Amino acid sequence: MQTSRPSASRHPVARRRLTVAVLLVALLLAINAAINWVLVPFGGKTELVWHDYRQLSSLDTVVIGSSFAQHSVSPRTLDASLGSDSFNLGTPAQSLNNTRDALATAIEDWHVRRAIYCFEYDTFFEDQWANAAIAFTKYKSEGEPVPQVLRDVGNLVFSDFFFTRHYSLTCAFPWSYEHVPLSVRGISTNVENRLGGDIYKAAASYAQLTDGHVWDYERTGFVGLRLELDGKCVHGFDYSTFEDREFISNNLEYLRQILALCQQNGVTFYMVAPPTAASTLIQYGDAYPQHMTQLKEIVEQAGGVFLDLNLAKPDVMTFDGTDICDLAHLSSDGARKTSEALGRLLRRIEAGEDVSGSFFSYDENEWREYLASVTYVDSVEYEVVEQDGAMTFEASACTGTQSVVEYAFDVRASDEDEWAVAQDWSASSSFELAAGTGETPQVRVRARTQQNPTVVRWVTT
Amino acid sequence: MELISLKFALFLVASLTTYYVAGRLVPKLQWVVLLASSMAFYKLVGSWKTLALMVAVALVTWLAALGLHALDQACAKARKTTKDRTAKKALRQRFLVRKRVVLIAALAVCLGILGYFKYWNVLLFYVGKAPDTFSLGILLPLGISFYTFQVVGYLIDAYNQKYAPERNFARYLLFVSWFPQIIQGPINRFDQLSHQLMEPHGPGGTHVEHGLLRLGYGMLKKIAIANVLSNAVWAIFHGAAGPAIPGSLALYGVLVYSIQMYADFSGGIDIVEGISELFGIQMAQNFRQPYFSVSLADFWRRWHMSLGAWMRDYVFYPLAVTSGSRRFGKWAGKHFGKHAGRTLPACVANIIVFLLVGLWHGAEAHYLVWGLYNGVIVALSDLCKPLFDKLVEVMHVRRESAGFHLFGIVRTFAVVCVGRYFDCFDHVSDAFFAMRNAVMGLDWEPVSSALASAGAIYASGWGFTVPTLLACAFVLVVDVFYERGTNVRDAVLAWRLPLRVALYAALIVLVASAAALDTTGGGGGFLYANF
Repeated sequence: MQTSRPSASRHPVARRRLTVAVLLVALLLAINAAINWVLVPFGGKTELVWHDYRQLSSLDTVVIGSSFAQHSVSPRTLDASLGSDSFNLGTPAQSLNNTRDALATAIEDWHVRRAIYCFEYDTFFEDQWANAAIAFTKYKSEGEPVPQVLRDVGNLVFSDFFFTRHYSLTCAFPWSYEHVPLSVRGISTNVENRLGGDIYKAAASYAQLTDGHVWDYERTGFVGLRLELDGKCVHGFDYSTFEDREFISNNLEYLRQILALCQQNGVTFYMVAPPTAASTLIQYGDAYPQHMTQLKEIVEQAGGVFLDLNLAKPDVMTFDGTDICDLAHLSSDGARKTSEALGRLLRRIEAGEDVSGSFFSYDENEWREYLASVTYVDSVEYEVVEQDGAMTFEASACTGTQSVVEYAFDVRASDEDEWAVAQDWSASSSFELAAGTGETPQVRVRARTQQNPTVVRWVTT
Repeated sequence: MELISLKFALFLVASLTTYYVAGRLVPKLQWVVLLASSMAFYKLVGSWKTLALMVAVALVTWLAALGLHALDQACAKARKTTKDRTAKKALRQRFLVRKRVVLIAALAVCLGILGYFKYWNVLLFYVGKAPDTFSLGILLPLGISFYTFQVVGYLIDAYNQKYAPERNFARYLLFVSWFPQIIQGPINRFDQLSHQLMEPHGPGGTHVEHGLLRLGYGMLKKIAIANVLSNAVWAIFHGAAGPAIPGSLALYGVLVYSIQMYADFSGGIDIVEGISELFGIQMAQNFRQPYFSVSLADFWRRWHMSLGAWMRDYVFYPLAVTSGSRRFGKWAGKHFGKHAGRTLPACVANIIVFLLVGLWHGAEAHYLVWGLYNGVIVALSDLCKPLFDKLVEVMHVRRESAGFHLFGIVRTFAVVCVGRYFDCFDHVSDAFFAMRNAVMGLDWEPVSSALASAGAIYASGWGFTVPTLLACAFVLVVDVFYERGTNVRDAVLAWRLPLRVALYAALIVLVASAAALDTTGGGGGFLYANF
């Protein structure tokens, strides 16, 4: 009689296959963990925010959003002005679904009563950034209980953006999405930082390594930027297509979810556009008031408050462009000024005051009035025409519609530090550099307005 | 839905599990799982409408093939009733006419649908009835070119009585809709694929390992090479137009495009072939180291092989054996010699075939010129063969030498690259401008700065990244081994376990390191953005 036992040759094959699979998975996990430890920066901005969030002992107001939140609202300044107990959960390139998740966490953990969502107009046209979303999930889930970690990871990989793309699989390798510069210095600094264990020290050294500047970090999630605006930033921006663009429908849906979350939990929702460079708004053109009206209506219909600080009148705050560091984000000083003004404004609103009169509206007339109210030069650029060795610089400044612009041109040799005035302040936007035999000198173009001569913008060749 | 995504991975795991469980429980009905998966996949990536369209095309061709078979049987039966040869001949002719009517009607339906979706808007644009080639908003249903060619092949085979048509519509529908082939081919043949789809398969064979290896290799090509290089290609050709197109940059762009295109297309094919192999089903081979070709004709026997074979069997041969073609051959032989008489009809057929290949890629003029270019070169090389043979003899060149072989490879690559100009530029005139500038006024502006001005990321690496270079080197080595006759997959699977695990781990790390380097995920390239 035959016994019904499996073929002897099949088991070793199956065992061997299983061994290969287990070995491969184990090896991969180990390698992945090691590479993560070495390459993923210790002390990145997102890690820092979630690290400090977990140290909180109380919270009633949460600031949410992308870098426009993280670099715009200082909780310390806001609290001093508003009397709140706030934290900034803004993280770089935070997408709206992550903003919703950050808010949900703050509501669940602290039952916050105020949510301040800081945004920039362009955010609603942008799809998710895979690397930012991965960093957000990674650091948010650190230290959370396993069910919450699974929920977070699920939110990431099953999100509309990830689920149908390779990011939903390759996000298992976070080092691929953000790593320190692949140089001996970059890697060794990171390893030293990890071994040292001081996240703030690590954050400072990583910032220097990557951004080349020092942050102003006050351990409340707020990262103050200390950068001087370089007029060159204006180059490469393409604003021409905004009128034909429409908001990404997913982003509007996430905004509605955020509003619903606030309504369900009795949270007062403020949607705030922090001040940005006037030139950015000017170049967005008429698309800006049209699109912003759409957002404002969505927010107000759901009981939220919509505040565009770009259109604030002097009783709220005065802004002359000196507090911008890269044509989009506020500098550290600008953020504190904004936070203080925002605190005062929210106090007025919560006291029942109607503040609509303190802002230009998006009506056509008031939008024109706003454009005319910008009296400082926000940025300057130039074009060069070469003919027979001579170079003609044609400068153009971005400012309000009523401003009278003046230009000045300086030159210096490449080995010199000091600029020499080649053409002093005048209404002429042209400057001709005669043909020379030697090396072409460097040229600096400066611009200011007669109405606001203290604000001077410049750009160099 | 990308094939490399969690959504597809979940779909695949569910399909595989159901397939192998069904294989244990009801092996005879295992194919039903494949059909259900294929229908589900097509719905996932398309819509009910596109699914209905595919089913309709399948239904028409299934019925037509059955009709052709019925006519064949009726003809045979009728012929048996008479012994008169003339009557038999007349019967045959009568049924042949009926068969032709059925065939032409079915072909008209299939090709008409394809033509409407693929060419109607372009056609209207060219006659001035549409503002642009997309103005009607006609969206091409996924895979329509592939499944249309597949059913047309089946119909013609049925017409030629190559095999008995499938009587079960569901089984036939599976052949048409088999989900790994639907996205980008290959164009499978009924007699090669159908029986595999019906056979029961278990997970125990080596096909799972082979499939996984091929799938991984395809991912390496797609993620580490194609996705990364697509940015440089886009930066170079997007908006490039007019007489001032920089010749050097366009030339570099064509070279990069050749690499990107190969990695993208063959990588995608590796992925779908690997997926099919996971189910134990081998699809038609579509690439065989095309950049090692020694002539353009050889290249087309190695690149998109299933399309080339389809064109050969269903267009070239029928054209070459028509009575008109034979008469033309005789006439040419009489006037230009034996060689011309033999090759000229084939040359004409080749030009027509390549024009159709161009049309298959799109109805825009640049695709047609691209097809014409390929057809003319292949035709000329056939026609001038005696001249080349003489030249080789006079120059005492040893055809079998490695040097001559290498020369053939380089020459063919150059010929292919010239053709790519018509593929890369949307307007034929721009392709000619770029070629002229590459020859007449090659401006050697550093590629890195030219790429940077065009808005490319990784410009300092000329569009390449370290993982991309490593992946390119790896693919080159694998192709060299295949070209030398080594089956790399078999060889790797025969390695000792630790070595294999190390190789897999290294390749996975390589793919992972390139995952964030494409630009589609927003922030692509901003690795140091300090998140």
